[in-house]
Amino acid sequence: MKKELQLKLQAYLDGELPVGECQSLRDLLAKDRQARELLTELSQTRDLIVAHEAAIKLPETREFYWAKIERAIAPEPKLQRRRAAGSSILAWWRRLLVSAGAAAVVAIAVLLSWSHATGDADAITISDGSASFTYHNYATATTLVWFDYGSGNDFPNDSGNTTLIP
Amino acid sequence: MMNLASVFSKVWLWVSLISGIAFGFGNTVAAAAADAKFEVQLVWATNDEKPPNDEYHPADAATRTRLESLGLKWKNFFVVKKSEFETKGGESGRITVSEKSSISVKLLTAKKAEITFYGQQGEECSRRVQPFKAGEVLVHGGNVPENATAWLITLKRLN
Repeated sequence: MKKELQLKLQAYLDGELPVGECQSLRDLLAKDRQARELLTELSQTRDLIVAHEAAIKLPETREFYWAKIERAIAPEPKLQRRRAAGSSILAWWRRLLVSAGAAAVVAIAVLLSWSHATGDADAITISDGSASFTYHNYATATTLVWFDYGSGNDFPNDSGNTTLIP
Repeated sequence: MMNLASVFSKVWLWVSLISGIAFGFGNTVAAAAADAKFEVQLVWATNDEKPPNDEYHPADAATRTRLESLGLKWKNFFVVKKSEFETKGGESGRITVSEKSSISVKLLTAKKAEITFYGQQGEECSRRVQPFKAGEVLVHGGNVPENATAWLITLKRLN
């Protein structure tokens, strides 16, 4: 027997076969003994299942039972959202703190290297109030602190002439 | 919140650690600057060809080159007095250079020093903080109007 015929018999038994095909199937059943036996077997099996299926009774009303399930399910997305929000804030803080930490380290390193590299910047002379000036020659790494006692000294001028004439 | 506190702790731990290493390094450098050796010279600058007495010696070539690089136009430089001294615990104390002047050095770091110049009465004429590495020279000087000469005190860091 073809599988298609078996499925048609099952559909006929369940009342799901189109009306147009029911008559032709009944004609076939009148002629085909094997088909009749299968239909009988399917019918008996259905009756057996229906007769002996265990009846499950809910301890509470149907509405209360499903409402309880709904309540159990409903908070779950809220909790997930709260957890997701919490982890998002934590991740944001973590990124911020890591960035701030890295910036602090860089700032410390830059300040330290700057203070070492620009040592010339804090060369300060405090004189006792007498006329004095300071000149540094980078080529010879020599610094001059000159005290002027008057009488004809020419100090370095804007033309770049750094001559001192006695 | 425990995670947040943990992250805070970790970040500040690293910052503190790195800062500590950096400042520790700086202090190590400062500590290493405890002692250094210096050479000090009293120099007479003049256009005269000969010094006033035989105790004056012509400045060596290196000193002459340095003094000339400062734009001083005196032709000759004679060394009146030359000595060396060393700092102890980073400070030299007052070093007498002549009857009229003295100088002191205080090492602030390995490469930075405070140099103080004192006058005849021991008064502080100049106090200067500057980078002062080995080989560098600081010259204090002034003119003598009466005879158109000048005195110079050269301070060279030797190490």
